[in-house]
Amino acid sequence: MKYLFLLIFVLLFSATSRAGTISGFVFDESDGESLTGANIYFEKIPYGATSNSSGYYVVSDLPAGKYLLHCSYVGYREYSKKIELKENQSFKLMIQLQPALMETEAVVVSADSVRTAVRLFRKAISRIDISPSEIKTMPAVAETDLLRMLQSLPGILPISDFSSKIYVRGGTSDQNLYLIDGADVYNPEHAFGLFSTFNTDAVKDIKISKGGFPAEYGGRLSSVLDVTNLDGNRKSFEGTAEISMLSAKTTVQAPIGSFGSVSASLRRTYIGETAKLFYDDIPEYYFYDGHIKAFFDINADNKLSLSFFKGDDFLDYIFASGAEGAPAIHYDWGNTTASLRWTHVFTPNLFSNFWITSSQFDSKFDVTEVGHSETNDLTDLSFKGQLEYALSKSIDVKFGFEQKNLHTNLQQDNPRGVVDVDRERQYYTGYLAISWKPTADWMIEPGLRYNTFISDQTFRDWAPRFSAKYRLTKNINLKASSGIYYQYLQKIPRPFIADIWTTSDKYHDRSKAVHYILGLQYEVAQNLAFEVETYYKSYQNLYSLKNYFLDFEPSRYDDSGRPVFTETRGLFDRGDGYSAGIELLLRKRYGSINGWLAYSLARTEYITEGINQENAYAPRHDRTHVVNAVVNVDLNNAIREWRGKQPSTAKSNWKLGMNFIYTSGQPITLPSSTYYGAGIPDQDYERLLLYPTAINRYRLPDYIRLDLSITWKRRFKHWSMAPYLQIFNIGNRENVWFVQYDSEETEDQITQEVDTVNMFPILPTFGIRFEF
Amino acid sequence: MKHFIQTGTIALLGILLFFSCGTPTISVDESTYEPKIVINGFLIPDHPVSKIKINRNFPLGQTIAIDEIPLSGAQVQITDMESGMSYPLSYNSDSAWFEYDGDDWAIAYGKSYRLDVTATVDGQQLQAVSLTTVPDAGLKIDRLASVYGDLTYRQLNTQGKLVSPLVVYEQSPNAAFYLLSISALDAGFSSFIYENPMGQKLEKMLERGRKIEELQYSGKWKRPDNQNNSYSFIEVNWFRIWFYGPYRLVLYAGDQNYYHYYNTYNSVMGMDGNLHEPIFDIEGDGIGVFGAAVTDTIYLNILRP
Repeated sequence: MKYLFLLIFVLLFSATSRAGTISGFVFDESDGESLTGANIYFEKIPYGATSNSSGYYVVSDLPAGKYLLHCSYVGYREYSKKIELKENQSFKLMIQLQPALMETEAVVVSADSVRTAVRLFRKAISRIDISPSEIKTMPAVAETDLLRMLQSLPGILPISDFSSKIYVRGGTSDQNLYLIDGADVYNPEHAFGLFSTFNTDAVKDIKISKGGFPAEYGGRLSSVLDVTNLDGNRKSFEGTAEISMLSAKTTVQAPIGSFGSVSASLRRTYIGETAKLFYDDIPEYYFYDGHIKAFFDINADNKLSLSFFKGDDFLDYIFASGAEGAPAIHYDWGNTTASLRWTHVFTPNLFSNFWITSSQFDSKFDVTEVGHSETNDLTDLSFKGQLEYALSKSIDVKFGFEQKNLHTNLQQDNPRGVVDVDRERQYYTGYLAISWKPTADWMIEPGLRYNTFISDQTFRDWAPRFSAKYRLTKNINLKASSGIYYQYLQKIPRPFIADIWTTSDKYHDRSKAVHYILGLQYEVAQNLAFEVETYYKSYQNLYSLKNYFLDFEPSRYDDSGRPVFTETRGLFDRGDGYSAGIELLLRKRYGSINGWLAYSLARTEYITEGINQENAYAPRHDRTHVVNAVVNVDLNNAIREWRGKQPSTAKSNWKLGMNFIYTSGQPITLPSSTYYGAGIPDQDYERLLLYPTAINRYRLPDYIRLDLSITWKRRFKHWSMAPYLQIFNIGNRENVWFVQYDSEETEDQITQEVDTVNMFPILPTFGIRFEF
Repeated sequence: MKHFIQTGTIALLGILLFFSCGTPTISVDESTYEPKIVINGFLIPDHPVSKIKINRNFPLGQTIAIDEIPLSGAQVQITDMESGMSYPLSYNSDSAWFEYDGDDWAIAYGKSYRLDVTATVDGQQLQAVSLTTVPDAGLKIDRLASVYGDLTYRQLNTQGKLVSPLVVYEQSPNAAFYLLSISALDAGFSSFIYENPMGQKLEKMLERGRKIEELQYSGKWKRPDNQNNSYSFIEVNWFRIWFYGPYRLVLYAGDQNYYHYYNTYNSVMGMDGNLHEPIFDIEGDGIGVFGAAVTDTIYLNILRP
């Protein structure tokens, strides 16, 4: 660890002798939002930069001279400026880009002047960038949802229609790191997993990394979803409001004087009330979530942002309303996150972000009459910093630290016993990532991360990362990446009730994964990219909750003699495994018709102690073949282009969204046989029972689903409205969720019946959206 | 290029719409079927060795003739592990179970016994072995502290609080768990409690495919409480009482085999609809349970308010 910091200090010291630099931030001129990924380049000289996630860029090692600087960003008019740079001068340039069209949707935007192959080259391997407008145009299950949208990308899968949880390249759902404005979110689900907590109206930028992620990210084995919320409009007040069959929501943005902005959003559902129109005996249920973010532009070198998010779900159900002594379920759960980010430019070459973040998940569950109650809490208070240093024209260095203070608390109380697992944990990490461009065609990115996790024993791990990119031709890039990843938190999944997080300890070693990824990117045409990636990922120490909790001993007994369990020993089955696959993605991000076509071939196998006679088996989220097709169409402009005309912003226009998914069968366990038996000797009641053996050896029928959405947008002078209709599973295909078994007994024979339980049928929803 | 994309999009939409309709079918074959000896038998001290059921299993989906279930030709014997003496069991064709005919042998507290079964199923010679240890003596229902006998449905005490049936008992050393078997002895439409807290009607429940036995019989279990406090209790929640009239409450102090079987045999389907393996303490080609328990019984009578 000390060598890591020594190297960092050497790099900082070397900052004293520099050639000239040009640095600054890139903003949207219309609302003052910083722009991530804008390209800065010069005529005739091979210097350049890309704005980072804060919109900051730096071009270093520039000799004195006169330059013509260009800045381009998809959807914005190109920016050009003549600059005369003196020797050793630090030139600060704030770039304000004008939107190419007075249109907030990215569906109709002009192409980037930077080649698609160049943009692909700059992108990290296995990373996919999504714009909020891409999410909003896609058909949804009633509510636009970020995680469900991600399920349409190659290598990312759901377990069923009923869950927004994602499984990335064979990893389990707890192996994904979710970040909102730098703060971890631990259980990002509403409505028992039907919806995620990310409000897409409040989102500015989304990055999903499916593997091989660099040293700045850690603590999870499979993926990183990094979401940045809107800072807020710094020029004028603006807002959106939307009402649908299931929810109402609004987002507003406003300037704070001349030095800042604020954005806020609020969403409230009325799912229970809507469901009552169609079904009897429905629980009282709703959720709300909201966020507020304030951004302060203190001066050219200091920015501050404060972000707060809160979401809660509430469920009440009485088994027989009005009946005396009826058992009732009360269940409330939710997330609260807060973050304070200070952005500071030490020198033009040394840019930094520092965070204080807090994340809390809490749930309270009780069943009256049965006498069962539970609280399940997790809090995370973190301090982290990330510094980016432009060492030279060809070398950039990123380094940082993170310190987490975790508190997990699970309390259960029922007549059979008490669970009291209350734990404090600390996590320290430091990392260094170097980006070295030895030639115009090569990019080498080594990295190293060091983790210390302190529970009832201390885990210390080095996690090296490496990636390389090579421009084979002007249209083709080759990429490779490898890395070691550690995870010290494991999630105990529970259907229909909040998952429980637990931590590595003396009984459960930390989980480990090693990624190997190879990729090829091909620019088919400008704004049309084809990517192929193949990967192999090995896992060690995967933990799954035991199917039965029978043979672990209590730590003590309470005053009434009930067993009290304070340890998780005996709670998990330990296993290892691997995932391997190949993914093909053809993507057109912009234009009147945009979307992607993807195919993935994959295989995941786990070997778990005590399961399947310790033979390898495919987990339920394994799918061999997956095809995704997503198409978003701006109908007016598609027709204009068909007729050879330029796209334009009409007073009203129609948009069509389509999402198609095909997956080959999901693994499932079937009974190998049935038998006739009873449970209690004195009860004269025998029945047919199931005896499953070969775990997940059977495959359900193929899953196929087509969703469509259509939106009509009408613009007025200061506002617009857009009624929409979304149809989930328009073919009403009866996709199988699981198999159920029944039997009919007569005097002399038993007839067995096998039937299926299906996922969502055709599900139309409608709503209206306003922008002002 | 643009025309190609636009035409392609329209064509793609039509093709995908065509493929996204339909009802997939699921077919279950017998490829994972393996013949097994199904054991269901318990040793109870001071009771004759009887009701040892030795059956066979069947492929999923097959229609089963009731008289093909028992393996009447099986070779079954129980060995007293302390004395080494083996006792062959004979098949009782009236009851379709195995039992010991002699009167020279009784099951003792705290002793271990091994069951050996050999049988032919689907032409295959199968063998199964299971070992059980009877819990020690000690289980006794405290009849003074327990709430049983005549009890009005949802009876209130003098303070207006609900009084529930309660079984207080002295624990049996070395028991793996305690199971209270709750059996309504007069279950039917006329005795059904229509004012039940779940708001259910028997006719509707039967229409929806539930069987009356599912309401007539239930069980509630718990693990041993602190051994320093040898007394424990199990409360019978009122929502478990579906019928007026007499109930038999049998308390079992079960061994490890029974504990595993009772908690897993009927819990093989998870909340996600997938199946997982039960825990059976039988070696070889057997499934089910060969267990042991110490028992005590009281009776309850639920009166109409």
